[in-house]
Amino acid sequence: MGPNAFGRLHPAVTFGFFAGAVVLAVLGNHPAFQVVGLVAAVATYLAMRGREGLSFLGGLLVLAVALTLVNPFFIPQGSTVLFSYLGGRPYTLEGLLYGASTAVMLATVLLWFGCFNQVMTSEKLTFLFGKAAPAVTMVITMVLRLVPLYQRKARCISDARGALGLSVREGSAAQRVRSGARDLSALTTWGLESAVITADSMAARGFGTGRRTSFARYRFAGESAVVCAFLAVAFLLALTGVLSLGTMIFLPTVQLPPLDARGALALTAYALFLCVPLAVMGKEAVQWRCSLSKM
Amino acid sequence: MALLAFEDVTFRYPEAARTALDGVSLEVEAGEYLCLCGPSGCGKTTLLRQMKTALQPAGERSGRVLLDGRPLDHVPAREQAARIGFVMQNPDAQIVTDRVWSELAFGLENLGWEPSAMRLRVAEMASYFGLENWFERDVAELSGGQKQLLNLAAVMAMAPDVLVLDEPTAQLDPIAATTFLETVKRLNRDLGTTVVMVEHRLEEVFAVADRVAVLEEGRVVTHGTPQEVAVALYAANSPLTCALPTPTRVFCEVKGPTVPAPLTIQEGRTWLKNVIATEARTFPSSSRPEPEGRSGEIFPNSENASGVAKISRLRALRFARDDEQGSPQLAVAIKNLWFRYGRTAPDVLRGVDLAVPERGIFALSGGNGAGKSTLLRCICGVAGPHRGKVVLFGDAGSRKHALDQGKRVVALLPQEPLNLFAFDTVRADLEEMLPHASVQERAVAVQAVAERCGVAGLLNRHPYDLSGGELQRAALAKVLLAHPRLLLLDEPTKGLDALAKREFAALLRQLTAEGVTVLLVSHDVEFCARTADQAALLFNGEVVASAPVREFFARNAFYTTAASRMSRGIIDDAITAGDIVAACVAAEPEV
Repeated sequence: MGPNAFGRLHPAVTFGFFAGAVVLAVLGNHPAFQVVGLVAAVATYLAMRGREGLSFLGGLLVLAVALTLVNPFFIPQGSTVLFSYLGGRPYTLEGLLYGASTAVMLATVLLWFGCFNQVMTSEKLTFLFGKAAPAVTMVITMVLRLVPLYQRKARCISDARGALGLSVREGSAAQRVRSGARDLSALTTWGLESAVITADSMAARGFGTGRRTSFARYRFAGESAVVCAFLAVAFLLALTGVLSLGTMIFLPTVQLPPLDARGALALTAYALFLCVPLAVMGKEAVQWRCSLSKM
Repeated sequence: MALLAFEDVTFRYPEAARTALDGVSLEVEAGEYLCLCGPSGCGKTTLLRQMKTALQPAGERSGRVLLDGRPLDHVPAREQAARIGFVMQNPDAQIVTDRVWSELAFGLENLGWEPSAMRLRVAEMASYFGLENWFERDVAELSGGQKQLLNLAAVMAMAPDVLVLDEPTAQLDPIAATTFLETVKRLNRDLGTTVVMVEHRLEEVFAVADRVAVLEEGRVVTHGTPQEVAVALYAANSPLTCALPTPTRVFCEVKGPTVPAPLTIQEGRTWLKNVIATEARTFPSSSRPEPEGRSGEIFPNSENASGVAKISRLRALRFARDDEQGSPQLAVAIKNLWFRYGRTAPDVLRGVDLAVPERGIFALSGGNGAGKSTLLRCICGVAGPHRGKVVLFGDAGSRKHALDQGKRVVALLPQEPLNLFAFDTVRADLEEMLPHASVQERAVAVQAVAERCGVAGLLNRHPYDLSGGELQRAALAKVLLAHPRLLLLDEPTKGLDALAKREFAALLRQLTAEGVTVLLVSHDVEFCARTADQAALLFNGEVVASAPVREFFARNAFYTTAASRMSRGIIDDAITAGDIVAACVAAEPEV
């Protein structure tokens, strides 16, 4: 199961899904919602990245645990003191739970961004926003290209200079800092030089000579329209539910809003909303199997 | 009326002492293929940039550039963008977007084309250039040659009348360069696109161009058909002759500068067969006088050999020398080396065995992705092999204490020499290598190495302002300040014109005389044949052949020099133009 099937939907639908998923993940801090959000995000991310995604998940786990454990040091409020330190500063259970909730929210959002990167290429963004702000979109496209380009070049420079002993991995701390600064300076000079050439290349091909059109290859029809309608309904149900449920309070004591019928409906809608990418990708995988068995 | 015309164009950069262009008048007819050549700094790029208002550099300009008889300043920017296509040197920086297809569409989007028309044109371009398989790819995944083809396709999508190319193959390996130049020729032939190209790969361009113009110090000194220009260059004893096609050079050396001179290997072979009677195939053991004057200077590497007798004697001598010393000490000994970039990634090196003798130039050639650069990384210790080991100068541990009081056993000159430079002047960059020296010592050492590498006059220049050859020499100076015993060079001839290559080869020779061992990896067969003592071929992660350079190239049928291909079956063991000239002189005493 790759990201392709979901990525083939109209970019507005794809973008809408991610925007909705992130909004709901930030607003809905009820544990039930958080668990649903995290599970869906992990599943979607793994479905898109496969085995390669595991290392990112491992990193996120470390980050989340660290965030959870550190949080009580900054938030001393809370009624259940687990232990105290530095002459009486309390380390509380509530602070810990608050930290865990924040960490889960952050991890969920980061995972959605990870999925977003798999599916939303720069030209889709250009397609969506190019008409409204062509210059800004152009700049965004270029920056998206430049980030990996700079990373690669930085590695080349540090390798080349490292082989001559001008390495950030050799010498005293001061020498390393100096080497790092020089690598950066080399990178900057290269970057400026490339930017001049890119600008020439753009000008030579008529950039900025008048009205610009966009090479759009996306049609809003069929599956996209159905998915879009479904997403819209599920999002509204989930959003109203989340808002009416009210936010969870951690400090000074944990107050969990009871999950009533409306809340349960919203939770179901939220789950269905988040399952859309998996469903689209799964549907294609099944169709592919079926078409194979017919052959 | 000419499609493009320069009328007495003079141009001076702000605050420059002399004019970059001096009264250039030149006409470009529709459909012709014009090649501009000249030594570096002669104003070629400045001239090309006058052909497009958007790219014109700032400075004082007089004279006019006309497109279809209209002054360029009066042609709207959009029309210029569509009608005059411009491809530059750097394959990477010219690309604007991150996908192949969006790059193809970029120009059309700028011109405001309707999406349906644009889709058709992009599809046409992708099919014509054979880009279908990479259509959806991220441009970062493409090789340099593919990137440059994409740049060409992206410009051609706008269907320009004239295609202006500024050293488009300078950053490409020879095979990608040939593919690129063939594509340009195809555009010229199939679509009638006018081509104006600055190129230093004259071997290939002379065979296909309709007209050649030679620029020197901002003036057009010669122009005409490639034949006429080649002969005129020879008559004028121009340094550019060393860049001419091998058959032309051999012909002009033997017959003197007369028309018609052969331009291609095929023409060269026909001519050579007539010169060398069949019985002369094996060389007379000649004691003929050395060929006079010029050939000695122009082919310094032919070591004024007269015929293969001398050549074989040289070879025998080399073997004898090896025998005398028993087995010479090896600078690099590699046994069964395996390397891959990731745990599950495919092996890049699969059991490499390599022995590089000390004090000499060893050339390792091989195609793209054969693992040449990876092997260099393993040798200098940047990459760690997962099986096998690299022994330098007989000491397995030497890489561990590579840093021996600031002196390195091994140093690498990377493919992009600019990666080494981090300061605003060459001098500051060289001084960076001597952090512990006093100010005085530093100045002395820098001056010494700069003179040795011929960059003493460039010390105050910015590294980015140097020409390809100057930059390579400056980078070599920086690397030499590490006092390596083993010097590794990764594609040292990339971006160098023929003259710069020659100078660089001489510099390497001088280094080996001083006891440095040079191991270079290169696609550049001609350079390897002229410069190296030993050559090896790396293919698919293995060394498939390793031999003294003459034996190596004389034995290869395809992967060999133009001279070897030209003389195959006619003269034995000739691998440079100088060898063929020597053999011709031997066979035809009256010439």
